[in-house]
Amino acid sequence: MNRRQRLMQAVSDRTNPIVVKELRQAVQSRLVIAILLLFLLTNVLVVSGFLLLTIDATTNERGGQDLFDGLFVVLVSTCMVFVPLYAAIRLTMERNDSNIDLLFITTIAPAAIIRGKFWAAVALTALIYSASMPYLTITYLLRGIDLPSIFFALGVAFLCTAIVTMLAIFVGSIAGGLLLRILVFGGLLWLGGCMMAYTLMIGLSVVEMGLASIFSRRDGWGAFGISVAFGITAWGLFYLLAVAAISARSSNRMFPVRVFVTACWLIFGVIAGVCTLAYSSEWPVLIWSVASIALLSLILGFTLAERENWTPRVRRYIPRSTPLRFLAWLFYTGSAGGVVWCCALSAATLLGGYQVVGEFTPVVGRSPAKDVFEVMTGVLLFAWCYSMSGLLVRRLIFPKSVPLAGTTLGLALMGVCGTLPLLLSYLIRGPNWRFDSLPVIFAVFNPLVLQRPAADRTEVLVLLSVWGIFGLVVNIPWFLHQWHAFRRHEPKPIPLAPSLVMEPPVIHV
Amino acid sequence: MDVKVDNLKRHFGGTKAVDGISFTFSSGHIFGFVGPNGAGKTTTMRILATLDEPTDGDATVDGVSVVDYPEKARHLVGFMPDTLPTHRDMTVHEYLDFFARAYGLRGLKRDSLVERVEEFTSLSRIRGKFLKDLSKGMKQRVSLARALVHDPPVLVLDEPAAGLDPRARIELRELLKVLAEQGKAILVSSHILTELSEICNGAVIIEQGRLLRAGGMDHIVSSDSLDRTVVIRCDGPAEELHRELIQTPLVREARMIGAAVEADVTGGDDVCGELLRYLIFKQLRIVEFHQRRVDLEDVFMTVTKGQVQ
Repeated sequence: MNRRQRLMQAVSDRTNPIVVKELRQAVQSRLVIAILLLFLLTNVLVVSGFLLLTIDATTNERGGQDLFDGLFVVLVSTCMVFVPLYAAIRLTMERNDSNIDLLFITTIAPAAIIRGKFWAAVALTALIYSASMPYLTITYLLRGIDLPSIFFALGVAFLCTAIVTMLAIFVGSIAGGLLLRILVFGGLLWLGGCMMAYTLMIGLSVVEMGLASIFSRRDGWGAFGISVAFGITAWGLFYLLAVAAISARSSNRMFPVRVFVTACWLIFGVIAGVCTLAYSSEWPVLIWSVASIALLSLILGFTLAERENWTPRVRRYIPRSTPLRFLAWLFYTGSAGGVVWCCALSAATLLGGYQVVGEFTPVVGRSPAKDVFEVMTGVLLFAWCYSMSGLLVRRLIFPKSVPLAGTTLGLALMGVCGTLPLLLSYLIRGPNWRFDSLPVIFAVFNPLVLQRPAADRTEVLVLLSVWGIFGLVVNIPWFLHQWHAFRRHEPKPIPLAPSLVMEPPVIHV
Repeated sequence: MDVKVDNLKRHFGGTKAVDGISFTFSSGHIFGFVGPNGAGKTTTMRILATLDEPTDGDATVDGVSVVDYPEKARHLVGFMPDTLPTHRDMTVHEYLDFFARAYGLRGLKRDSLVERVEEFTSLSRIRGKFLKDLSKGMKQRVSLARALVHDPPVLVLDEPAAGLDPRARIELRELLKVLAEQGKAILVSSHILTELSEICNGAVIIEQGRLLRAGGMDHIVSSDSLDRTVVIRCDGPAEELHRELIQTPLVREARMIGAAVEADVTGGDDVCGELLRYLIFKQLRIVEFHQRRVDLEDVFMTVTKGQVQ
């Protein structure tokens, strides 16, 4: 074996096996070949159409810009639609075939599987980019476009494709029923569409106005920084969620997600605090609080669906000391600990947010920021009250059901309790009835009640707090049971010298 | 090397898929894993392959617990599930090479192991073929090759002969024999009990997650709780022998088969001996008296009730 072969062998050995497999399959896939040919044909049509139909193509001041716009739309559409869909569908098919199970008996980790899928999709994107390069070069030969703008637009599109691809991989990794898949797929299309619109807007406007239009201003750098930070956070969250989705049910799969969410919450909170002080405005903290409460309210409901007991594979990593055990209980996979973790972050967000907003609120009168905070408190209380109510109903009526039933029952209760008083009121008062005229005691079950004036809202928050405390008290045994069950498992030692001698069969019953 | 399953339990809500089963098997032996559909065979095998975790109990492979050290146990176990490889756009060689990489095999060692496994399972000629173009028998071979690719000392095979034609079954049987001779401990589940009888050194019979029988083949078929069937021929008319047999309380039922009579004896070896003494006492000139060999199928039909959860 010569030096080059040895080098190639070393590279091959160090490459993620999933990347090797995915790329081997991609080059043999008729779909990939068809899409690439279609992409090249569309590029040829765009360039030749532009050159043939534009009389002054070479002298036009905007010639390069116009051609780039056309090619950029083709490139972004192909990369942001085909690549994520291809990655998601392939993973979904593997999940359905239950072949992915076989990967778990190898030494490859779920994280490596997701990384492999992602890098294979990145390689496919790079292939599409390289196919597009000859045509994009033509735009530079024409007038009205500069090289940094081209690279910036292409870079933004590449990063956005990477984020949407990770989102698609997460969707593909979910093992669930058809309804869940349709719902999540709908979400993917919506988010992917938003990302595509954002990419096109940024790319086309940069080419139109030049890079200086963004980076010559301080707020331009700020917006760029925030976009990059959100992009990286979204990518990281989808990556960890995808890893959690394909990890074995018995594993501690939510631990990395909770650590990541906590770290992001803390980092963005500090940045928002610094910005609030620097700009003397409560809005950075307000935006951080609203985003945190919205996300945590959503997480609270889904946390209820997590497991309520732990197998030795998780329990062997539980610390022995009580303070560390409590910390582990909050962060390890598990419903009760997860609910407490979620509530701790939410409470800290509200307390910190109220503290900062209080500094900027006039002593007399109200501020819009305070109104927003009250609404967010209400949203969180609604999530808590319905989660605890769903949990109580499950514990009392369906004690043998899976934990997901608690989340489902909570949502069902919200649907029923939110609409039933309104229907009754409609039947009693007739078509002239209005939601605002309904007494708070009846409207309090519907989250839309938070839109009411501030005086009503205070009453609503008090009622929700009473309901929330009731929910907590009746479910305390559930929390305590899980806390007591969360104890370390001491693994048996591995024999030092495994027997290698073949022995006659020893049969015991 | 021993594989020990110790009071293994796996409950799914109220369903006890596996309910406290224990057995042991060792290197160089093929152990049949038998039970009706839904008995808990696949669940047990998935736990052994570290794909699932038991609710209680444990299983160890050469002393390594599959519960406590799944990462270490994975190197020791090759698992062949009852599903066939369905990867599209992938050749046989690429498939095996991928799993070899996934087990962390590197460089020339990986290449040689994959080639050896292809040769052993007679896949060398079709290594360039796509998986989707293979027959079921060939896919089973690929699946077995995948389980062997990291050269594990223990093989757990879930229904490897399902849907195979007679030739493919015979070939698979021979492969398993060779693997056992190489010193691998093999646990194989199958519904084709006659085949298991031929190749297995022992068997485990379960139903509704509970262990009914476990042990070496001789131990299982000679168990005291099983009644015997003896074939008897005498130098004289078979009718007379038949008449004598149905009159004795030692025989539950007797049937004439040509010149011989087949009798179901109400007990074990001691009753068979008593019956022979009785027939000689009755001055019948016995020229043939042998127990019909009880096979795994008979045992299975006797001990299972065909119940599912």
